[in-house]
Amino acid sequence: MGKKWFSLLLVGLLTLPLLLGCGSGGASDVDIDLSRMNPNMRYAEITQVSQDPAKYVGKTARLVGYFRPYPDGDKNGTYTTGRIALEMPDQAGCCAAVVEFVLKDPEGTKLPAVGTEVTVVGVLETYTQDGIVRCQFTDATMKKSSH
Amino acid sequence: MIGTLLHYLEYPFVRYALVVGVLIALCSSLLGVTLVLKRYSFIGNGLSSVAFGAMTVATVLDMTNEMTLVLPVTVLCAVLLLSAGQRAALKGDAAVAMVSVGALAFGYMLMNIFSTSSNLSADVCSTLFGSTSILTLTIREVVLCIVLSVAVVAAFVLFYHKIFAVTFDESFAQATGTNARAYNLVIAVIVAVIIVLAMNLVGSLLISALVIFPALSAMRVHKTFLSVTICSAILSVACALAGLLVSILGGTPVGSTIVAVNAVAFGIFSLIGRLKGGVSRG
Repeated sequence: MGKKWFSLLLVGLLTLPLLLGCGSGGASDVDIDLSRMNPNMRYAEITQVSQDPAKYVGKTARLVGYFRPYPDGDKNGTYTTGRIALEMPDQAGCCAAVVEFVLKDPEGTKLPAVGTEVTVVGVLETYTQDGIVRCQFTDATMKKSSH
Repeated sequence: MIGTLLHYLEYPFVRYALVVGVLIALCSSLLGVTLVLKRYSFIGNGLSSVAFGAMTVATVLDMTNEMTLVLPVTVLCAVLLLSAGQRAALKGDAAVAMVSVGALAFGYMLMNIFSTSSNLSADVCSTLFGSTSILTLTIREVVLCIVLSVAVVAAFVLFYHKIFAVTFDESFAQATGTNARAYNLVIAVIVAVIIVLAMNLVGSLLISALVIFPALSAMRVHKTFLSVTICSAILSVACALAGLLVSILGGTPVGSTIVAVNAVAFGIFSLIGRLKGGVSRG
């Protein structure tokens, strides 16, 4: 009896994630919505995107993180290229991913203070720089996170 | 909460983490009983430090597949510690402690001197404590984990009786014709593979917990080798699954959450063991 129950329990535990994976988490207006995730999960998902960007090209994403001026930009908090960076750390702040955004309306977007938590929506594109494929989110809109 | 869980389960990396977590927990628990009974409870920490040291060397050498260096080095050290340990000048805990701190210090020093990353503290934190490693697995790493896990379980099942004999009385096993040295070698290789796999789940500093806790908990309520091994395997898988789900939903660190669940399970099993009256001491 012991072996039978052990086998059943083992099979159940191993197949549970796959069975539960068939469920739906509710509709969203974007393809990838990281605003509904905790920081660890946001970091994990954005890592997946950066590992295989080709799979996500053309998808719209909503990301939450901390506003940083893009390294090419003005250090006074203004920018010239319409490009911003979003820092997405894990819960402990141990690891962080930095994502590039190209703003849809650079002139009309008021930039927050560096380190402010913001929500950014953009469409993923890839580009090659120095032989390395990089990803960026274009046509982006940004607003301060509400919480 | 169920809705959030279902939402998270739509992401492949969450499913990868659950599958890999369950497999690593199963593998680590199988040999936990043997290691505890052979008084090698702390070998997990020693070997994981070795794996950490080897990983830093692979990083410094800019190797694309770190596993090609980490796995052989860890296996070699496991063989030296577990297989040749009985005849070596430095035995048991002294050898494990020396290798553990030596490899840890050497690895950290290398990372500082030859760091190729802009975020050294993140690399160290991630390797030592697992951090979000289990949530950032690639499909290649998942497949490798499945293959190695199947190999570990198959080796354990295939050599179960010999491992049992070598665990309880090595001298008697040798006298009855069992090649104890060869089976110690098998145990050493399996342990090394488990350690390298488990680094992704809980990080190198917490691996020992994954090996020891389920075995010790099972020993509180069961008395035979087989029943302890089976109970240990079920408990380990259940704790890993519970720890993973809690950390995914709550945003807590995966490794330490799994270890905390194991610690709670140990407390519960100790209580059950006391209530039952007959407690075997590991």
